Amino acid sequence: MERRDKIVLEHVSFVYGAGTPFEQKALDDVSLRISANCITGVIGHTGSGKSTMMNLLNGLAKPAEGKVYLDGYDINTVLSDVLEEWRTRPEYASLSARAAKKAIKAEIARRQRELCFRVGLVMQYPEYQLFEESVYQDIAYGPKNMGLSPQEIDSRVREAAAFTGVEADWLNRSPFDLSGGQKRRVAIAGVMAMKPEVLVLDEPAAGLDPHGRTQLFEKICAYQKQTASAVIIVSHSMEDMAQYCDEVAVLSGARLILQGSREEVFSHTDLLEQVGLDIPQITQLVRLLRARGVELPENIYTVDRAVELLRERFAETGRCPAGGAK
Amino acid sequence: MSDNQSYIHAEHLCFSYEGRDGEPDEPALRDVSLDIARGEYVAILGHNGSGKSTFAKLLNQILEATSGKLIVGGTDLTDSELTEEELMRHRRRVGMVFQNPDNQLVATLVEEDVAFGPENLGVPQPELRRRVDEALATVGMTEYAGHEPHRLSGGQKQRVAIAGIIAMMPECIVFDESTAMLDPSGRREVLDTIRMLNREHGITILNITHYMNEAAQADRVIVINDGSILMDGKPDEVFERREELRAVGLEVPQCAELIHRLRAYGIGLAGEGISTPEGCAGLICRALGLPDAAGKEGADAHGTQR
Repeated sequence: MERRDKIVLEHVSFVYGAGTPFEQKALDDVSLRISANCITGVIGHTGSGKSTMMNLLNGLAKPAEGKVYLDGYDINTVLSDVLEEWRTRPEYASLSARAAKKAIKAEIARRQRELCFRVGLVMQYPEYQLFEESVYQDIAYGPKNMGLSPQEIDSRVREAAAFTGVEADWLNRSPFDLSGGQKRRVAIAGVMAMKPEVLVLDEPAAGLDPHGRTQLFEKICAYQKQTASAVIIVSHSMEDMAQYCDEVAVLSGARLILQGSREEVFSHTDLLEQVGLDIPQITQLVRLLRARGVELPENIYTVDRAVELLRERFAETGRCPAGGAK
Repeated sequence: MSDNQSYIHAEHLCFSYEGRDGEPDEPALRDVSLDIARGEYVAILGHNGSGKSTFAKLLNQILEATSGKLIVGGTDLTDSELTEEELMRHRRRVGMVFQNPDNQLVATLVEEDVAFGPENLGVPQPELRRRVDEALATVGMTEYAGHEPHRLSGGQKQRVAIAGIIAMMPECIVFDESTAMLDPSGRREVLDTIRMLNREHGITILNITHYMNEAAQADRVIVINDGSILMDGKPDEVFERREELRAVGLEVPQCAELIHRLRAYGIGLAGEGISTPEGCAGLICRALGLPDAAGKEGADAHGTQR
């Protein structure tokens, strides 16, 4: 499929506490392209700037320098764009200064909200942000704010619930009666229900057990395929990233040090380790095998691929029975 | 009776949380019996809600057992005549490190935070100073003594939390998903610290975790499911039982998964070592007829190869 940019960051920098003794550069000249219709993984150690970057994607925070484009539109020009448009409108002259100001403010707020609907953010530990009386109302909160009709809200709630595996009989229960993993799914469904063009998930599987992790990631993949949206996942787990992401970006010390397909990124194992990240365990094993003379390419990062290639090695030595099980 | 070697002795231990209606809920722990020796390094696995954290909380009496017997370090925690004084002494011996580093640090300076526990125990100067310095040195945080805890990285914060426990000179430390919120380098810092405390200081370690790779570092792995012990053995033994682990929502480490799948194709990969990449590399090389002793050499070659 043809690759299309959904979000483009151009020379973006961000500074916390500018002008104070605690001034800290959180992003330093980051240029990144995020593709439409695929899953992009963002990895980096704590404090590398990942979360800061996520907050820039829907205008929640503004870069100190550089530009953030969504479908080619510079999202931080909302203010000037609205002012510009209003100046040319015929009704502008007829309004009192006060009324015009009010109308312009409302228009700016509307467009900024719209950005938040288009780029849906699921923060870390989102289950702590549930607050409604029922699971249904919690998932419906976003679509309701978008001003959708009750029928549309209802269908979106049910669709999003199905995406994340929120069961129908939970919908009328209080979210606080659910387990942590169940709450997490409700919180994610709440953002999916807004049908964002870009879904950003910050450590979506943190604290879940292995089964819960696998299940959640599989549901996110299915969601991506079905909606053809851009999904961005921030995670510390290299194994998960190698398994589920199409493209990967790596941040270290506020700078972008790698970006590309997962094949490209995971072939730079030395660099990943240098910046304090892990490489998948299977890649470590392949490295050990290569050192002992087993012929394998270096960039193996999934168990599937390792099984496939090792079977070939065993077949060559005549140590693998033909056909085989499974 | 617990034998002399056993540091933690549980016998038919049960626990139920109180439900909304005041009636006991489904038991979180059912009939758990086990012995953990002094100086052992044990990992505890189980899916969310399996009862592993409940077990940890019984160990230092954040929770009290509903029935059964629990003896830790010679103190019978289930004895109804346990005095407040004995309980305090017990809690000093069994420290706990939790998941969120931000919830565990209380003071404005790192060294004050480490001193918080022993100071409350009434440890006088200059003993207090000595303990704080030693604890910080043990976790490699001496140079941060005068820093503000909230400016540290996650791994550093957890190490400060560990130092605060070491300063109370515990016999046993329970880590309850203490690496879950850390990045890979933070996890490594904490895991290296755990191993060092066990190997060099003889502290008994219980590490409750969702990371299979972490569990592979322990001497022994206990799998809890639905409040009962499902497996108990060496990491190699436990990770041989992939299907049973899957059935309770767990997975084996990637390298063990590879071995299991190759075996399913009829490739003969018998022997120990399934829980670590090094062990698996050995299994595969032997089966391929490659020299097994390449271990050290291979590792060196790797450094110069590229």
